[in-house]
Amino acid sequence: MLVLSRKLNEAIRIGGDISIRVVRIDRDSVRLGVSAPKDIGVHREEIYVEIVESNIAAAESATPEQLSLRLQQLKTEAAAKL
Amino acid sequence: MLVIESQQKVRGGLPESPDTQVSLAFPDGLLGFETLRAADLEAIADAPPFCWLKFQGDPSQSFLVVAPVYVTASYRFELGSTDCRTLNLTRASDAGVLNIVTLRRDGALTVNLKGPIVYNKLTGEARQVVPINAAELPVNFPVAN
Repeated sequence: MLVLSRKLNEAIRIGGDISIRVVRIDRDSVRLGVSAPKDIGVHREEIYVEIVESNIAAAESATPEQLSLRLQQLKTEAAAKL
Repeated sequence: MLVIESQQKVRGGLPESPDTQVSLAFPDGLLGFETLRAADLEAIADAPPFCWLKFQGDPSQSFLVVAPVYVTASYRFELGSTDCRTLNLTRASDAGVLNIVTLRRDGALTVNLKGPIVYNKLTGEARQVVPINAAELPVNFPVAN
């Protein structure tokens, strides 16, 4: 991993059109300004982690048989409400 | 960038009955499951509109999925240019969307709207994407009865 030191208001550039600038430094956090083309997704790392964890939960939450049973229960409950 | 909305008719490309299945290719796998590459999408006879996404080579690796139009009427996400290029998508109408369903310990079903699976209905190429507006999308959207 490339590690760079930057001071307040200094930036790094990735490729020709992405710039990341240090806009504020607090005691335990750094605020970054990202300039990138509108169609480039810029996300917090947590978003990726959230999706990965959701996939793992979906894969491990139940067997196909358990899921089928639950879908049937929901269907029955929905029919009973009508 | 393409804007995908749940109001769009997304059923095209989905299997209409359990007797038919649609094959999808995942060159990058799913997030966290990068080794899964090819899947069959199978309709569930007694629980439409839910489908099974069954990955080939590992029968235990199945995901319950549903098209978002059946879960919420206000789903809208922005697909970045890299995803559009990878999927060879130039029109939103060629894009199919599926969302992974999770059965919670309390029996509730939730849908991941934050990381949708987008596929090209013409080619069967598929990819789990992180939309440009992912931060505003829920990862555990409840499925109403």
